[in-house]
Amino acid sequence: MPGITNKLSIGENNSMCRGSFKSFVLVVLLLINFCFRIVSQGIDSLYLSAKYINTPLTELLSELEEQYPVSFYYKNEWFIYDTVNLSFSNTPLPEALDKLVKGTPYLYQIIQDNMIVFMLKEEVAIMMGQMVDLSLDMKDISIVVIGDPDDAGKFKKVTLTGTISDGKTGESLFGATIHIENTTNAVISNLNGEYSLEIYPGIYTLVVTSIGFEKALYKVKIISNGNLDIELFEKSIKIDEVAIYSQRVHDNIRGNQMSLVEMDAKNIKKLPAIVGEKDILKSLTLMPGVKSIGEFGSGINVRGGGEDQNLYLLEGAPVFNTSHVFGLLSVINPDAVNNVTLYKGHIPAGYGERISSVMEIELRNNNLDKMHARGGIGLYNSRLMLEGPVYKDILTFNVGGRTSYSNWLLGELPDYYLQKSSASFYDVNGLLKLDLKKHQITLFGYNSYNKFRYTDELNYEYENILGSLKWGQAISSSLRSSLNVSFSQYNVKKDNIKTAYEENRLSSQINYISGKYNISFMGFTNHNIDLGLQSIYYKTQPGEIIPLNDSSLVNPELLMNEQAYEGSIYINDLYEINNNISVNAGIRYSGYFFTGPLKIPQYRADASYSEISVIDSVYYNNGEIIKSYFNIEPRLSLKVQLNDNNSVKLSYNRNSQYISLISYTSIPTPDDVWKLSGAYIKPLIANQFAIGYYRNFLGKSIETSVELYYKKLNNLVEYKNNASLEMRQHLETELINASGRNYGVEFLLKKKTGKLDGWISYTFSRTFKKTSSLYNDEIINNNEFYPSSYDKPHDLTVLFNYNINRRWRIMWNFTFSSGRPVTLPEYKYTIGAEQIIYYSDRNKYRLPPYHRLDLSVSLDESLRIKKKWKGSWTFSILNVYARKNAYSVFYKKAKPDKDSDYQRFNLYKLYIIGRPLPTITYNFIF
Amino acid sequence: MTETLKNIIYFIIIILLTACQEVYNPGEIDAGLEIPVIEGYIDDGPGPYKVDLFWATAFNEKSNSPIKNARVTISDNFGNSAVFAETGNGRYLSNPGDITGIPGRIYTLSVELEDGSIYESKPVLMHSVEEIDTIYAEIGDKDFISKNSWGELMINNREGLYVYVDVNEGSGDKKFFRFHNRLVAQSFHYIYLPTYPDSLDSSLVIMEPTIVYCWRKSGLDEVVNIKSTFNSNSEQVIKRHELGFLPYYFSILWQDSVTTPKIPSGWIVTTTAYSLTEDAYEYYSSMIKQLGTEENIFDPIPSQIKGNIYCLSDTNQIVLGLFEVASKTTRHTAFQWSAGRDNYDIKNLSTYSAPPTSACQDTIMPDFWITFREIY
Repeated sequence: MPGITNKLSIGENNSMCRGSFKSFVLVVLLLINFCFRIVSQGIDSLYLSAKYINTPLTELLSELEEQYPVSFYYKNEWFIYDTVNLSFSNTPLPEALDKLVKGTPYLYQIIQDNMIVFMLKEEVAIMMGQMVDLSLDMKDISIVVIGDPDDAGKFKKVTLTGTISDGKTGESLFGATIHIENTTNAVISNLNGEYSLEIYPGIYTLVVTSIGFEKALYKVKIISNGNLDIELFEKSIKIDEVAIYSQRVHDNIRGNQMSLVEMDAKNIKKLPAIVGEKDILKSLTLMPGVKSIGEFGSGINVRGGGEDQNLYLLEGAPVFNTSHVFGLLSVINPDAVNNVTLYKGHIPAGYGERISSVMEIELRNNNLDKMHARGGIGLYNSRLMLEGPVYKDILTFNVGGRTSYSNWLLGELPDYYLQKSSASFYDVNGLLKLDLKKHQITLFGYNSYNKFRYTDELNYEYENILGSLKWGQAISSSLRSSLNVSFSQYNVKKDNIKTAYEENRLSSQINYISGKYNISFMGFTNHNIDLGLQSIYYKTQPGEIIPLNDSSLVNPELLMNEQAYEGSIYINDLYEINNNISVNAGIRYSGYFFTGPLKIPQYRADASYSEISVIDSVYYNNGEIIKSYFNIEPRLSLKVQLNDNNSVKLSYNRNSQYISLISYTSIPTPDDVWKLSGAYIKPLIANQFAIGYYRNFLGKSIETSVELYYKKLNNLVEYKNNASLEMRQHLETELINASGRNYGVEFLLKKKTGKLDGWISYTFSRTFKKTSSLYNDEIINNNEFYPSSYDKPHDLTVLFNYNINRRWRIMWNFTFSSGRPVTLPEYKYTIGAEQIIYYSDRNKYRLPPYHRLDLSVSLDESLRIKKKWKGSWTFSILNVYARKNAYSVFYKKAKPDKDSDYQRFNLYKLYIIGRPLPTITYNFIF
Repeated sequence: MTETLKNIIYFIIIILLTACQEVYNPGEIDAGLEIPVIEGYIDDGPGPYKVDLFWATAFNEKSNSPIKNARVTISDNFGNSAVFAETGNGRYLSNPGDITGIPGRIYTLSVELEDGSIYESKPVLMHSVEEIDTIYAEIGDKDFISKNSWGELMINNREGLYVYVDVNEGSGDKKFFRFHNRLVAQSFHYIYLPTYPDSLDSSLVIMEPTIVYCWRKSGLDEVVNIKSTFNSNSEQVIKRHELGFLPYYFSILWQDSVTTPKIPSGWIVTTTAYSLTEDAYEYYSSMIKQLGTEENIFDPIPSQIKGNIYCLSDTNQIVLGLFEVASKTTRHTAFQWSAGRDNYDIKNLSTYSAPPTSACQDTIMPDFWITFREIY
């Protein structure tokens, strides 16, 4: 029969057979004379007696083919996850087949007595000119009619749009899923809760879900284009913690975005707690492609990028230092967070400023009808957060804070030096939200402060001050605008208090002000267009040094402020070409202007930038442009969903960055200097290509993905050999323009349901830098590629939770990664009376591999909603087998005695957690 | 607080503060190569010039062995060359008259080792150097930091003179200098020696005061003292560059405990300015930075120090050291100051023959002694 393909070829080549299958269906329908079922006498006479328990449908059909003179035709992918739990007793075969397809989106036809062809109801109905009815049997739910009944039959395909919101508060719900039951068609609401769904006219059941909300079912009859606003309501059992996903549920296949890590309400409580507290930033490092330098160390490294290449946006304001006490904890209070999104690959055109990743952190801003509090008490610090209404349904607030009390503990220690040490921090955040339905205004403020002092040598103080004002406006059902004005300031002071003779305070500061206006337009079918503009003002105080007492011999010095302006415009379109293919394309154009007042040295053309190659200097007045840069940044991603459980995604990104953190120490320190691109320091440019394959197994309970990426980086800032960065107005004399290349492959296997859940992630990645200078002082490792300081080729995380019951849980977390590259001394020699060390090529060696096992037992809070006070306990043991992982290796002069093995220099290893570290934390909500 | 609660707190803290540091053995490091260290030197003085050759030692080893039987040659761009003679312990010296450093000429150091490997420096121009313009001092004090026998840091504040130099090299390109300073500190005191006025009566003894001259010879530089000129009114100058500090009191080598107080009576600073090449200046800058680390974990990641000598027979062979080619000029300046005074005395000496070692002698004033006032 022309057009007929057997089931094997259908299953083996889906893309090829789709057209032929449609033809086949048409031929079948013609042959059966528009009759849905022809039951031949022959098949009617066949009877089936068997019991099937969890039997794969495909297996059952094969069995029937063996037992009876029949052949089945279907696409393998339709039934791959379907199992049968039925028993038949002398049941006629047509009746048995009826039972098999009941409640499924399929029907079957019997032709020529022995050929049984399965077809999609939807396709048959369309071709027959009839209205599809894929609705569930939901007699108690009234049907919602979309469109004018007079338009019935006029449209082949229509668009259903609307907004999904919290039925209690009216807040828009981002990331809610609308799935049409019995089809593969599903969409996700955007940041404004809006969705757009293309569909054949018909009768359907819409299944609407969002984390933390009751699932909603809507039976709809769709006739023509129309609007359906949907409200969801919180579950009566409230799960309110923050959870981490590589993608939202099922989004790994359907989501348009690749290389995305999201955190939402649910499971972070299952993660290990360092010093007794969950840490969102550190939890991210358990995901593929995201690493950190060690237990401590500020920031994260995303796909081989430096920590300064990540834009951390807290309510739209950038955070310049994300760590408390050298990275002991991150500055993000988990209690205050509502949602975290990390873009590590494709970054939409609405975001600029950094080249590796963008992390958007939204604080809780729920419209509550009464006051709530939550907090936690740990060994090292405690936290408390309050939220509630100021004016019900219109004005709400959220304030929270954390503080440490380590000073009290240190003071009790019977050790002279530790008694003189201190480490303390606090952070406070506040958010006020005015909700006028069509207008939403959010006012946000934040301050984090740190003080760290080790004996009588060094004293660090640093703080972030952030603020933002957001104004969102629903101009029409398809047009929304948002204005975000943000401010960020980072201050750092380092007191050198070793001796009165040299006591001094070194301080620096960066100020950032940004205004961003965005318009979202959903007026075109299947298009979600964002366009906007952003303006940024940077001002840095590179350094000031002052003596701290009258006897100090340090001369005060103040470096000149530096300032720059950045402006950008962008447009981004998320285009759903069809249910399976979507394109997210955008472009960003940025201009950067480094301006006076500043004196700029002029260097010899035939020499590297150095103090000795200065031949003149030019003074620029206030506002006078010293140097400008312009960059075009295309962003593109493509999703091809092969079927319900497979998809492929590709992306290309070009990003630019006009500010860099200059660090040359083995351990990042708070006083590392933020440096603006300027007359001689060019903006960082990154081009990234990525491709990913995503596949779900076992009814989507297991998600797998593999992503490959390649990044090319230009104008990386590398420091010269023997550079000196403190109190340098013209840092270009200490820096080198380098290029880089990062590449890697990331695997993720995640089990999301059952008593045992968790994930295994493995990343193989490399990150290299290379200088290309002709001048001796600008050549690192002979101008050949060398590994960057955060190049860790192998990175493995195995994290499992065993849920004993609803409240008790055991967690296992094992991490392994290659050691970080280090520069080690290889030789020594003597010049005069001085011993000189010859160090290896930069980053030639590696620290030993890092591995650690953490275990924890948790007792979660009661979820009964009537219970006012809910408490939970977590007992953790970090580093169960006492691995002394080297955090850093440093070089220390020592007297040549027995203790130092008669060496004048010695290598020392610093490890942070050298033995099992138990912690206990109590969290509460009331 | 009860004792029990205290113990609980100690336990918690000890567990919390498990961070520690320990000597790190990196295991295998690539230190199996034989890396020559070549320190060559030629100036516009009469010579002899020296080249020191020795093997770099693996970081975790202790020996330091000289390179023997090498053929060491310095040649200039006028066809002159000199083969240096090995004098032992890795030192090679030029023979008088074989070659002379002349400003404006270009010199190349060549070293051939026993195994046939050949090392050669970049051709290095000997820059001329102008006379040092001014050396002067300012009265001040300085904290000297030391550790006592308990290992505690001690600060010892001492008064004295800061010595500075000004240089004016006229118009032209930036100039690079290395300053080398030697110090001879003078002091005197009296002792009482027995005299016998009556030669027939040895019982008659008169204790006559006798003057004792003491001098201490030392270097003034802590590491390497380098400075480059900067452009000021179209002239390449160095202004107020510190050469060192002259503490008023200094210890002397005199064992007799029966003395009058020791009176510092002057410092003679011999300053030699060497005109460096830019490469040599950068080499010394790197060395100073490496030696100046603050000994803590927040120090910069260390880096290599690159010189100007390469291996011709194997371009991948690492060579350490520097071939320094410099012309030089020397100034002798004598200072005298007493604590409490608000000014000091200075003498520019056209010549000065420094004593070979630190020592003391009584009665007779040494030839090299510089006087500012009458000594009583």
